[in-house]
Amino acid sequence: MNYSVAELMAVVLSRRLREGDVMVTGTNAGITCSAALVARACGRPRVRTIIGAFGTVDPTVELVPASGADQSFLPGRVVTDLISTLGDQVRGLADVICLGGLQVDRDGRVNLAVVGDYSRPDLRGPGTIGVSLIARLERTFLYFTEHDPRTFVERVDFVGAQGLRPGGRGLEVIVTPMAVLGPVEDGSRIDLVSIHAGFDFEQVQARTGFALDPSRAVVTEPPSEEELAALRGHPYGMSLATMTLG
Amino acid sequence: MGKIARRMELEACVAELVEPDSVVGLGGLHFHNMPMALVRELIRQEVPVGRLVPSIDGSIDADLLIGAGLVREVQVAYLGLETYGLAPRFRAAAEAGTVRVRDCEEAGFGLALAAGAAGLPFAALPAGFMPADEGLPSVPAVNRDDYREIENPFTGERHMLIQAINPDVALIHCQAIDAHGNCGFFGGSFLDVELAKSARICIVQVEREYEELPSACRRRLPGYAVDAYCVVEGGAHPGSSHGVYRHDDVHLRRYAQLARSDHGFERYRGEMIGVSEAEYAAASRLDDRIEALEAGPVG
Repeated sequence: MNYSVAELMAVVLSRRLREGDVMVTGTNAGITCSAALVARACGRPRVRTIIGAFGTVDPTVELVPASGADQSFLPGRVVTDLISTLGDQVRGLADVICLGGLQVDRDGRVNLAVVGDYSRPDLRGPGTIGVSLIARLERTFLYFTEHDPRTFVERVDFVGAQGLRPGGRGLEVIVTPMAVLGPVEDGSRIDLVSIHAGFDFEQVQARTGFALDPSRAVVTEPPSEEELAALRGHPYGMSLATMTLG
Repeated sequence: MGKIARRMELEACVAELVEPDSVVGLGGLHFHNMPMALVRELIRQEVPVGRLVPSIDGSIDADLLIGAGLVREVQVAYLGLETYGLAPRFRAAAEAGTVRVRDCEEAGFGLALAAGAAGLPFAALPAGFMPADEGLPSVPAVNRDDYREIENPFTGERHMLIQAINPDVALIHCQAIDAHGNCGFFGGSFLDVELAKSARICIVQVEREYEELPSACRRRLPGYAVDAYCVVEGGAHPGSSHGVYRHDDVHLRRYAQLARSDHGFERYRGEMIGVSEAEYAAASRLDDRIEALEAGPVG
């Protein structure tokens, strides 16, 4: 393969970005910022990124910092502030939110608070934070640097948000280093969208805690020349070529 | 009534202004602009905190206070070490049941602080914002202290309310202060202005005093919202102080490792907290680190 897993993940997300989209991102934003970069270069120039901590619209940073509140994320086309960016998300002025999670279940619920019994958890996570905003933004992208059966579970232990909302809104895509998951056509559950080249159905199923439909096991479309050129033509896009995940 | 900011020593800020068992709010975001010198001083003076309100993305600041056994309950939207993983002492205490957790979420927490700053009793969230009750725990189901449902008298729709956040004391870090107690942030100010105004007492730790606030300040907090301030160069270490120094990756990485165990945390505490901020500076080689981590101007 002439591309890295991180590059593929960025390209998968970029294809979901539509002209005019406003996408909110933050921690470990190398992949999401790069997705916006590719989308802009591939015919959707008005895709915009907001760094939530500062309300920075289209940050002008050379290399994306790991921390979402690093000062190098401050300069951008427009800088508002955290509270107004929160309002933009609750109001629905932003379109897409990018998140991770501790658990995602078959019914699209997302949890970042606890694993196990709430009153005496096996694992206390950081808290619900922006997961609740899945209920307000049109679309949510989840991305994970590991494809872990502890993440993809039959039923979450705590509901931060219900990801599957009426009308196809809510959780739109889940990208991992192995596969793409997402809602099935009628929005009733989460299943496979595609498997990245180099992995097969059994491998993905073994790393997923709920049953997947083997008939959906198509290969993730690899990055095109145009998409790779867009990534590699910018310092932070270029950094994905050597990025280690997990 | 407008406040007149008093210049005080770090020790006196805590000894005179932070009552035991009060509600304490922390400024900054993740490991940036955290009021670390004030947090360390709370630990030295062993001031018990009735309810801790970390920043909307709380970090080592809250984790240290919890690890020191000073926190009875903590109101959390996010509490972790971001790129360094989970907050080890928060995790251990929550799993053992030794700290009570008031789980919130980002929008409600932020809007509750803004409500507190504006003198409003609560913030109302949009209809359908919170998960419906499916018998699984969720924020409104587990946190009745902060979230309650109400019928909108205008439309009849059901809404979740979150109670305003109004700490007894807010602890804020910023880069500059002038002779009138006006505060300046060279980089991000996050929810610090909202936190400062929401609190009954606002204590600021600042890098440096100026006759007039420099033009590098991107945002300002008026002195009429500040009760007291102390000047502590390097006071946000091991976090960053935007526009002055970057976060100390080596130090934070070491903390994340040590704090995984009780004895590791006690070792960190013994080495680093000391009996004064001067001892912290010596133990952490603060002057060298600050110089090595010089941030340069924002933007």
